[in-house]
Amino acid sequence: MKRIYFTSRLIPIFLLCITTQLSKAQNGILNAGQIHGNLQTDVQYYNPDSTIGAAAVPEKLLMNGFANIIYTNGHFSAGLRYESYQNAIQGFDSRYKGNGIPYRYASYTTEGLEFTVGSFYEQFGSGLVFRTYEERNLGYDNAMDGIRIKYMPFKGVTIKGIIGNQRFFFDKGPGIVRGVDGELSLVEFLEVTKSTKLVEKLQNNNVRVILGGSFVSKYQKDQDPIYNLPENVGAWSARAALGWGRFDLTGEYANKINDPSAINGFIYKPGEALLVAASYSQKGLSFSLSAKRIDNMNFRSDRTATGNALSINYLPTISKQHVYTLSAMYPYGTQPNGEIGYQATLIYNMKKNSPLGGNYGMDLSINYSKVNEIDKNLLPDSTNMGYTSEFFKIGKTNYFEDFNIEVSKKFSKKVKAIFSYVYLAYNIDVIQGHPGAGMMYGHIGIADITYKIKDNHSIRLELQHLYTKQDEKSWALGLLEYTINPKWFFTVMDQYNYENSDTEKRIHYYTVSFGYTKDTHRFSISYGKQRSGIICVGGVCRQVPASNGLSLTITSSF
Amino acid sequence: MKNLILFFAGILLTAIYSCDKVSPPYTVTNNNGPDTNAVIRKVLLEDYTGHMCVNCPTAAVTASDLKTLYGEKLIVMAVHAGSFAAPYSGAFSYDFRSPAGTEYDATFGISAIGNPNGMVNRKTVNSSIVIAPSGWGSTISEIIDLPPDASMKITNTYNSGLKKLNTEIKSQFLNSLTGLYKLCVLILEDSIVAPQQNTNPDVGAVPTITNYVHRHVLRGAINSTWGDSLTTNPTPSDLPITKSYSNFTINNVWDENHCYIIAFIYNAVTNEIVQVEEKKMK
Repeated sequence: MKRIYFTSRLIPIFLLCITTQLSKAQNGILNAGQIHGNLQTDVQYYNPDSTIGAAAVPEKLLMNGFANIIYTNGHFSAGLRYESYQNAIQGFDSRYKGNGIPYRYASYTTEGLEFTVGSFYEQFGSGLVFRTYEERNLGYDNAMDGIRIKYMPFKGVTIKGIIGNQRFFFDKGPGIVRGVDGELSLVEFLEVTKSTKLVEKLQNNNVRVILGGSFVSKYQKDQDPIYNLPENVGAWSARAALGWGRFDLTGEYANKINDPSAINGFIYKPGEALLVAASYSQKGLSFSLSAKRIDNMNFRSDRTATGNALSINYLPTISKQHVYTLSAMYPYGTQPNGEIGYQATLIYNMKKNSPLGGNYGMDLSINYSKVNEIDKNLLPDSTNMGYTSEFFKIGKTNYFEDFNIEVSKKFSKKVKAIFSYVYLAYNIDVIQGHPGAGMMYGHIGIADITYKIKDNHSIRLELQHLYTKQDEKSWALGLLEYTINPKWFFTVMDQYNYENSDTEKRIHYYTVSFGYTKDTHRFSISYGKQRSGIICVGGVCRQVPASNGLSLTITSSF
Repeated sequence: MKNLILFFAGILLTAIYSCDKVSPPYTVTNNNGPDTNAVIRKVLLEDYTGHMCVNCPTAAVTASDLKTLYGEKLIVMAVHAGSFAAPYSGAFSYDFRSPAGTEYDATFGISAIGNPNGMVNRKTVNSSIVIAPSGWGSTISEIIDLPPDASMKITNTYNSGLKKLNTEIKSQFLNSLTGLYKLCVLILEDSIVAPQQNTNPDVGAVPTITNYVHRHVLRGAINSTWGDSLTTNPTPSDLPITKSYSNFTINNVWDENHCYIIAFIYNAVTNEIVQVEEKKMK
């Protein structure tokens, strides 16, 4: 009895000592480290509205939310992202459902070596063979879950190795992705080899040379009863970035072996992609030219995946990403099965007190881009090879053309404005997948005028007009925004599809909204109608259904 | 450091040499026809579709290819649901939808992800019950040769004059299973000719195939959308269970010569189908 009494009293004392020591140790760790993060909640309440095609939502209220929490302490960092979809807001994939922690990692860096276990985002070169990233506006997240090692054995040399599975909503994709990437910054490397004279010569001439190469492979079991599918599919790329004074030239070529998939219609043709860009810049002037050719370069860790799921690579777009509502109404989405295009951009600053610059100067931006299909000579179905294509030959079908000019000018201490003109040719058949819809040719004019009433108080007027004879025909938009910096904004907006062939669809899409910002917290509420359409970020797109209702967004960081 | 460089080099070489370049023939031809004397597992492929869905004809070809490959072992059901299936004025005014199909679509969230998509035995694969057409074949191949969990027999009696159907489904479990199992009996109509939007010139005219043959169209549920309870924790020693449904009225619009009855047994919690059977109505 005594023994039991002794033991029963001793254990809690022992545990208390242990706990105290652990607590001290933890406090030490926590005191030396930092915790930071951010969160966002989007809530939308839906009203059914048959006039705009907004169907009834059974839940009436939907919510997307997430919080990132990151701990850093010296060379160590760890973090997680909690996500909640109750249920996912309309337009996001319904497989985002419920709550979970799909992203968590720990990372340690020492002596040029960075070791990460768990979830990570990474990019090799321009992403033609490997890029994982998150874009919340698209519901896009192809994060890797596995191991990543980055190593810099010498100054100017970086080697990366990755292996893992990709995120598939709240699960993992079936394929295993593994890859390596090496990059050499020649001038920095020559410094290590003590080629002093050569380094000085290169540095004096402002010469920059970066060379790189990647190899990525995926494994997915073949269980298909009809096709004899490759279980291991590899892709490689080589890249170079050369700079001399004010000139820069970059390029990357990628190639992929046979990779039949849902996206390419199960053809066994190898894929390839080329991306080149040249630019010149000096104070007040920059000019850039870029071109790309993509042929059968959809690369996913699940050959059956469609939509935005499980992409291993990223195929950059080379058209301007418009920010105004009507110029962004027809955004370009990259065509991974084949496209060829080019872009030119000129940015010029007219100095103060010059004839056009006036008292405050003026910025001018001119941009042109065009994308066509690649040349395709179709082969019989029985070959399973799809087609042949001459590399530099441009196909007949026009996918997209965009000429735009933007002038930004400050007229006085109180008035500044941005004026834009955009010409768009947009292949709805191909980009939005609506055969028979044909081309849309549009002319868009935009005036964005800001008047400063007094300190911290300003009012902004946006007038936009899209003229087109195709699709839903012409639109007009007016927006008025009152801002009290740095805390408040109030906006009213109306988009009017005034020329729709169906008179019942000549609808005013009105929205009223306001926002409040306090320190790192931001609240915004809007009420109104949202037209259906697509949004694209960097050539990756998602459908947005029509909706009518109230939306609330809260963001915060700490 | 040398070890690390060797490590990266090892990954690179392993990856390069592990690529599979496939040589022709790229497709496999085999005869998976069943031994008609034996009880076999049959698999239900549900193809969620719509006449405005431009990629759905291509998916229907995939379903047809699989049906050709697996014969009687595979039963295909086309469920017209979601916004692509809604009737529109003009050529696309026909309404293929059914209350049961709409409820399945809403429950499993299929058209919300985007059509064409489907389910194979309503089995969850990689945490998703919704399977893209390109994944139908591999999912079917995983389960179709497993020993059957149950045998089913459908007996139909149809009165053409009254357009009334009596159907009887006899089920016998062959393996011990846990949980509540339900029986669902549906009616399909095959080969309805009506316009279909299309984006694949290999399948037909683009953008509209005027005389498209819509196969295996779900018309409705005979014993309600989710069916009737059959048994709990069944074993092979249980007696066969017979369920009868009388006086089901055949819609005047449906072609009675093209109607099929399908019946399936599924787990009431997981929704996974353990056996399915099909029989022509008359």
